Amino acid sequence: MDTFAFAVVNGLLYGMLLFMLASGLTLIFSLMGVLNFAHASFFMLGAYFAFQLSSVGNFWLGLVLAPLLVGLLGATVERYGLRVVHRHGHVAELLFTFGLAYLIEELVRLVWGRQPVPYRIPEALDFPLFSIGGIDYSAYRGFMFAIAVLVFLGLLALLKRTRVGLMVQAALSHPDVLWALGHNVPRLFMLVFGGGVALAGLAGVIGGNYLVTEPGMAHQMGTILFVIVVFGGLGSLLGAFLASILIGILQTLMVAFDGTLTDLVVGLGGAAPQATGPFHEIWTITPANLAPVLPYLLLVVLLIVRPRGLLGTRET
Amino acid sequence: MTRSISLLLLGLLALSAALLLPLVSDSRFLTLFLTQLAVMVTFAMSYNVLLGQTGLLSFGHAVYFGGGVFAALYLITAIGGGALALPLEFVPLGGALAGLAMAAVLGLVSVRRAGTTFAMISLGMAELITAAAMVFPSVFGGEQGVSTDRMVDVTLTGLGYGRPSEIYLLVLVWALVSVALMVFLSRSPLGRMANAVRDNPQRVEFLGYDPYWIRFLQFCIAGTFAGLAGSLFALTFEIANAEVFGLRTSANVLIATYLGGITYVLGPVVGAFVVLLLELNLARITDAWLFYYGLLFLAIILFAPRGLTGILAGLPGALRRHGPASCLRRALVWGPAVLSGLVGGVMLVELSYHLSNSFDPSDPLRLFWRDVDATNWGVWALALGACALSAALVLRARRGGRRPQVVAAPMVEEGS
Repeated sequence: MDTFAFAVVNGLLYGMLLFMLASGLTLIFSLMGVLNFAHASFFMLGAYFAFQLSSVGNFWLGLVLAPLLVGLLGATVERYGLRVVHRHGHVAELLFTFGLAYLIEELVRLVWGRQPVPYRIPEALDFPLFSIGGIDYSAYRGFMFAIAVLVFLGLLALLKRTRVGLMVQAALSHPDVLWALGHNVPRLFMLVFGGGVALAGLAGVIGGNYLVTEPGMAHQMGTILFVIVVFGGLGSLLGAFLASILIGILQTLMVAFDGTLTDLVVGLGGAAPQATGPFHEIWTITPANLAPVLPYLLLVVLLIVRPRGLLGTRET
Repeated sequence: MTRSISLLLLGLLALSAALLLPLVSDSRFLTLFLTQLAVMVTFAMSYNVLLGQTGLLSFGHAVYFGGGVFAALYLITAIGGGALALPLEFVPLGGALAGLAMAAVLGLVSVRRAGTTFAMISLGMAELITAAAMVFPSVFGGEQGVSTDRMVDVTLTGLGYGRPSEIYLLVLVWALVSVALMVFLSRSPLGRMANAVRDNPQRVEFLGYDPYWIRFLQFCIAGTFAGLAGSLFALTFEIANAEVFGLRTSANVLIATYLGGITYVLGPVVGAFVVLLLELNLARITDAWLFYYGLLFLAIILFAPRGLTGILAGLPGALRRHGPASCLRRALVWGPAVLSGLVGGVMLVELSYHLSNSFDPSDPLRLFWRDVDATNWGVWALALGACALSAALVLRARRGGRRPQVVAAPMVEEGS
């Protein structure tokens, strides 16, 4: 039972981390129609920047500065890259962000090497917060959770309560009217892109030492991220939230449990099947083996049943 | 008219002479290069059936290629073991069938929507297949992969296919047949309808066609030829593991096709040639070649969306329009700027790569035919200086040159 509770809490935390990325990605997509393939690359850059800054100064310096740097970089990419390819259409934009992701991964290899870097949890937060049934829950996870909740609430307040949020909401449905009213829509796009990317950077800062900071992390995170936004319905923030939490918890739960089809057959009173021939692994797969496959399986099933995603309003 | 025809004939003659060179020469490198080129061209052409002709951006084309690879590997083993009385020359048909079968199943779900959704679904499918293939080492061989031996007794022509030049001939014939078929299909009514679906699906629907079926058929064609290309790969290398399904393979074919130019039927041929040349030569010179490769791809997307073929095809027109003198002047203004930027950029990349990735950073680094010390500040200053010079030259050229003003396109479009 304790393992289960821990798996759920950890899954929730992972889900919140995923949402920090998915929220920015969703906002950028619904506003500009660009699915930012390089979103997870900015997440990775956040982690690496934070590592660099924490090796010069300390973790808190990285926490503040790294997302800002990433945001600035994102705004530059929007202004001088995306805006240029925009006139060639959405496919060109998607290709551009794809090329960018490719380039950032190589750049990270170039600067920080192929091996994982030793980006560690700050010592001030390296103690058990509480423990249930002999398992410690580290304070850093509590800290991550607090940051993720703060970001979530902050984003909600920003969108619903401020003038900028109002403009973003207006731009979501009628950008041309907003433009005609004299607001600088291109600048708004740049701000939203920079902001969304900065959120991804922040997720990288707090997630990089919780996971592993290595050049492959962007690819790993990126593909899950796309599953989430398509699963939740392209352009739906609430859908992205639900999908993040769902996939976060499911993936953690699957790693926490073991048991195979053989066990099931034997448990039901059958004879253990022969483990030979092609595809014989099906009898000995544990849920942990299946955890990487699961999100994509869910995606494909959902697309067959409900092509628009969980809460999507349009079948883009 | 007669002049252009004779030019065409001359070109064809030169091409066939180049293609048949491995049969007389002993160069292993040339034979391997041309064999790989034939595989890559078939694969890239099949990819362009989706991207160029139908407007479907796929991040998972490697799935069908991989299907062809494994189908062929098992077929060759079966033929070699005597379990199957099929001549080796027909193995690519099996690969094509495998690609077709996979495309027909996965396509049903994938092609409901075009655009971003299709791209994401193709990525999801590819990840699903890759992850699943990793789970089943009994079929896909895990890390070591599956291997086979193409020297079987049952062949049609009596060739043993042990020598690289013999297998090259087989691969070449199949590649030429595939390319011819794909060019033919692109000009068929289906190909034309696919172009219409790419440009305006709504109007196609009004005309009474179903865009879904047209996309589906094109998807199946692309899958078939990708599977065929995969089987040619299997015949050449006789080994593969589950990684062929992965994003790296898909990205490679996407980049090759786009570099070549997706709006031209033979653009992918150019792209495959350039990419393969880069891959084989650049990788020998520098470890950072993937970085340059990515940079080239981004530059093409930003500045030449019609690809390398577009640049080549646009050159005569530009010469005629602006006159040779103006073109020469522009080249003289921009040439030094680009060149110094390239030199500085390459130096920076190589130096930082050496500093962060080599065993001992103070080891000498071979850079522009000289040994330099990457821990020495002088080299870095030189590299930065070249970059600064390039920036200054670009600024001057922009101020002086009569660059056509870029008209700001409307930033906002209706959601599509």
